[in-house]
Amino acid sequence: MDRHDVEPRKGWPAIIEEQGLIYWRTELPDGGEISYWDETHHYSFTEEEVYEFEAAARLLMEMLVEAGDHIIEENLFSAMGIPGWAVPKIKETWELEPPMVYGRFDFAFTPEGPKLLEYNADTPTAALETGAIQWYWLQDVYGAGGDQWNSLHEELVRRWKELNDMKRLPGDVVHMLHTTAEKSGEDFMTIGYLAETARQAGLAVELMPIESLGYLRDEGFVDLDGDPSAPSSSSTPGSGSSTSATWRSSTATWASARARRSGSSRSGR
Amino acid sequence: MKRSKVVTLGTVGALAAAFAGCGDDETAYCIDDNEEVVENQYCDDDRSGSYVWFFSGGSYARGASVAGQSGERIAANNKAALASRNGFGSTGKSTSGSSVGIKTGSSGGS
Repeated sequence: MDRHDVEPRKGWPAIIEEQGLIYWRTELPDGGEISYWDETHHYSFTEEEVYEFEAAARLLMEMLVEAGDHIIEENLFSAMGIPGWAVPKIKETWELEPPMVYGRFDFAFTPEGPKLLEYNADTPTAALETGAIQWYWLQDVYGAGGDQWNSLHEELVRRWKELNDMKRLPGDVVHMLHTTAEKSGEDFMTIGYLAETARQAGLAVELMPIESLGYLRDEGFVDLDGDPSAPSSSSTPGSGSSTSATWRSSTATWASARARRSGSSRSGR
Repeated sequence: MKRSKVVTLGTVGALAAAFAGCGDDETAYCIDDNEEVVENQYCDDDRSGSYVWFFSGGSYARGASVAGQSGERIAANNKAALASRNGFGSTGKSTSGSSVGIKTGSSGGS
């Protein structure tokens, strides 16, 4: 893995904001500002390294599923700090296997190989950044010849199509829920981006705040119009929806994003 | 080659424009090599790269944890809890004001 300095695009804030990354500003108390988005450098990986990441992501996903089976079979819930009242629902969900859309592994790149830092299966942000913002950056800086191990955008569209074809999406409309409690726009735009990928897959999508979600005893969850909503099929950080890794091809990019965010002092050791 | 061929954003730009004008709710912490939260000045003055900003509102931190000063893990996405402790978890070790952790939102309401 190599780190490269690169000239930021002229007028990059307007560029990324137009593409949806409106939450890049982080203000300091003294009136200064740090940007969450930083295009002053990037990381490159050899093909071998990329394959190593992909293999690691694949293996980890298998191991996580295996671990899930093990926890249920051995009844290890209390040891995991999971309250008893949640257990039936967990078992039911595990058996029913509601549709998985995406998840995100965060790796550190170490001399010993990829090291798992965390797995965001339920609250994966940075979808827009990975699927779109980075791609546009690549076009602008390296042109059509710039390579990237990342086809997240197509993969999301493909997955929505697949779920629709398999009749795994209940109702005529997919409800995508965001929260109004998150003020930077990150949650809204992450869900907005997912909604767009579903739209590109030919689905009817309704974007709504989870705060507006209603519940009727006989009908379950309903949207603002009182129409049935099915949160279990939408991808909403924090909603408890079931999401998982169909996102393995972009692990190299994730590692890059992680390294950039946390600075060189925390990666590569 | 596994790169995306064409990425079209469709409605995303319109959504972004619709959201514009709302406040920023990100929190940044200065952390050291051990991922412990330290005072902001270490990051401000750092020339060695030993201290880095940790964006709790950002991608890899959401739903994640960061080590507090006592080594206790605190949920970085638990904004309510963090806010009530001035940017800290249950250790409550924060000093006065803004020397540790940066909470934003001053750019105007939502």
